[in-house]
Amino acid sequence: MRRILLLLPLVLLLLALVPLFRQASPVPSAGQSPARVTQVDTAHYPNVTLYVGVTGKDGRPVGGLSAGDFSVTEDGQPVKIDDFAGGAGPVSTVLVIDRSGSMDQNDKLAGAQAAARAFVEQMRPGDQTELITFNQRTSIDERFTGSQDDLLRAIDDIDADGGTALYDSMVAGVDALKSASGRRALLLLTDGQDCRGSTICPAVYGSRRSLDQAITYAEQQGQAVYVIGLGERGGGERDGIDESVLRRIADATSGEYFYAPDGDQLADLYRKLSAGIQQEYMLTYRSPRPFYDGTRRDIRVSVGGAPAAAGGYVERHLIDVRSDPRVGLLLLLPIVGALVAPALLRRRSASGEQPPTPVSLDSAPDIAPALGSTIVQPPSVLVIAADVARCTSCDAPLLRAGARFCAECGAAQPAPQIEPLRRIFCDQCGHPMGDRARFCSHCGASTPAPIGTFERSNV
Amino acid sequence: MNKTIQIYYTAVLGALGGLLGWWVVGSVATGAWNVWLAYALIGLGLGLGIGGCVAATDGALIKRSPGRALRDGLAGGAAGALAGLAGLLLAEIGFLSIGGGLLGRTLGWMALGGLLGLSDLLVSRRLNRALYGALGGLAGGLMGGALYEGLTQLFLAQSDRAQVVVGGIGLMLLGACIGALIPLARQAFSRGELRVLNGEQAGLVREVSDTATIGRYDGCDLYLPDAAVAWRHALVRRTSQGFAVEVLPQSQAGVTVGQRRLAPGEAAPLRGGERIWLGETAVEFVGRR
Repeated sequence: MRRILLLLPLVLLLLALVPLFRQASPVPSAGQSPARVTQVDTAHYPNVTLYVGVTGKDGRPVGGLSAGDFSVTEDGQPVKIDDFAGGAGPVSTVLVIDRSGSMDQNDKLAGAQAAARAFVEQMRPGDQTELITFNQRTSIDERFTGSQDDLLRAIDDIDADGGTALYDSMVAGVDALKSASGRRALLLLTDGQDCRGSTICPAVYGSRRSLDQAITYAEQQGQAVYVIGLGERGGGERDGIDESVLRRIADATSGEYFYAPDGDQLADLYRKLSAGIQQEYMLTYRSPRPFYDGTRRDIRVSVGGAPAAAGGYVERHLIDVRSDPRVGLLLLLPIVGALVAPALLRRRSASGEQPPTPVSLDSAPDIAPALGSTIVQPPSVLVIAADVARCTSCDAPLLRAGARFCAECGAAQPAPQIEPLRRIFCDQCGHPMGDRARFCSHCGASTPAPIGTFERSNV
Repeated sequence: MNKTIQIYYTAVLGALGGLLGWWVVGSVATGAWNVWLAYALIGLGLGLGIGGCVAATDGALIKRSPGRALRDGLAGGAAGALAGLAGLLLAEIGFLSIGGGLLGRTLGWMALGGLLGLSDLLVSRRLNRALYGALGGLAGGLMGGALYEGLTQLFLAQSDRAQVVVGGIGLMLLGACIGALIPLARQAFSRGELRVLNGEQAGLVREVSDTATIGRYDGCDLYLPDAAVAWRHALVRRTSQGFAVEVLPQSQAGVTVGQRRLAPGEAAPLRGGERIWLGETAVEFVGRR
């Protein structure tokens, strides 16, 4: 318990400090900003690439803007846009499609397939798409490819059957995009709820990972998720999509949520999404604080003076190790000082006062060389004559001083008498002396007898 | 030398280790490297510096034997380098998983400190001692990481040169915290300790976590430069029944425990407050609950 108490103040102190150092969270989403930061790429830090989508009042992507229309700040400092492109460049997309049994109803699967086909048909040279489908299991139907034929063939082969492991499929999509470079997009389509923790379908048909785990993983990888809910709105014990869950995934990952009541509207939605991603602007700037310090940076992007859109990133380095010999020498000085300080202090105190003599153990035991079991002479030592307490009833020695009961006969023992401390004074000058001092610290006179009660005894 | 001074010296040498690690590794331009490769090297350098300096404290400042300091420093440095390599990669994973900030940095440095404390297992091969060291290293990493993050926040907007100084001071503080808390944890968690009452090492306190060797050999845990003490004289061992002292066969003179004389090869249980005589040196055993 004492040890825990030793560490407790330290832990409490650190917990108290946590709020002081907590990073400021990014500003809430810019509600009416026409711009939207869809991805922050720090693969070439301190060069930072932003993907920014701009939509007009009609909700359509706005094209034809130039670098001069954008203004960017990082942690409040304006930055110069070094590289600008009116288009997101090659896009890596993962289409995650629900193929649970319920997708067979109301032509939902046919609608999802049509939507995926529409997306694939809009792919440009250089774009790569991967197809992942899921029921209770997640499978990669087509790995990243630029071949539209291969993708269309894989889309046609999708069959609906089984449960819904939505969260696992999201993790699989994030995993697939982890090593992709450039603009990365994850489109997740479902018509139901994950069977994990659901009363609608058996839990074994659900995900192994929880919703929180899936969201945390996507956040760690900086992957936004576009979530598309298809069909009836449900939730709780009602079948159909649980919009609160789908919105939470989109919001937590800085993605977007879309709702489609039936499969017919899906193709149009996927086309719009594809066009929006392809028409995003790519802005590259050098961080005004190009340090490897592992801190969060908040970004604001505004277009033509309109309210700014928020984004941000965390610099990836736990520590920046760059040394300088002059700084090293400077930092060495306090260490050298700390090493010699105790010796200097000891020397100073030694020159000021006669050091107290330690307990009189200077007469060492006279131990004769022992060979085998032959012990020739018992050692003679100077020991502090501890008065061995004895039982008041049977006179047996007590196990320890102050024992309340005798270990031999069990008789209760009187409470130990505590002797008041004796004050000792120098015979020559009357100055008070330490308990075991052999010389007066004031006049230097030696005391004739050692302080304390010592006797020579054979052990 | 009392325990406070011993811990103080370990902290100062830990700071020196952090500084040396920063100095050497920082002279390599790892900023342009792949983060994982860079962190493997940085962890190796920091572990070598902090582990080596902390391990050498005993020989350099307590036993005052340069040869022992060098041997311990090399062994501790090698174990520390391995622990540092694994620890910093683990630290970076934790840091990135949490998304940086105070929590990410402190948890990351805790991983490094904990592994540095545990690395003693490779050198001493004593499980309890290594586990207590790991706990101390975790606490040291927590404290050092919090201090480092505090410095980072304080000098966030400063110049490039200020960032270099902050990095050096941060690693010195980290080394000092790990260096101080590893022996402090061993002291706090071990159930017994030996205190030298007279002679050249009077005042020296050495905890007994699993076993502690006593002798004139400077590799012993309790080094007694007393001509009447054998090279390896006695061993204090923690058993399930408590602590016991065992006279090693090399010892010709035996040991006197309280009022009992022990011949070579004999052992006797130890009680708190009991005195052990080896040659002309008296050592008090202090048992704690």
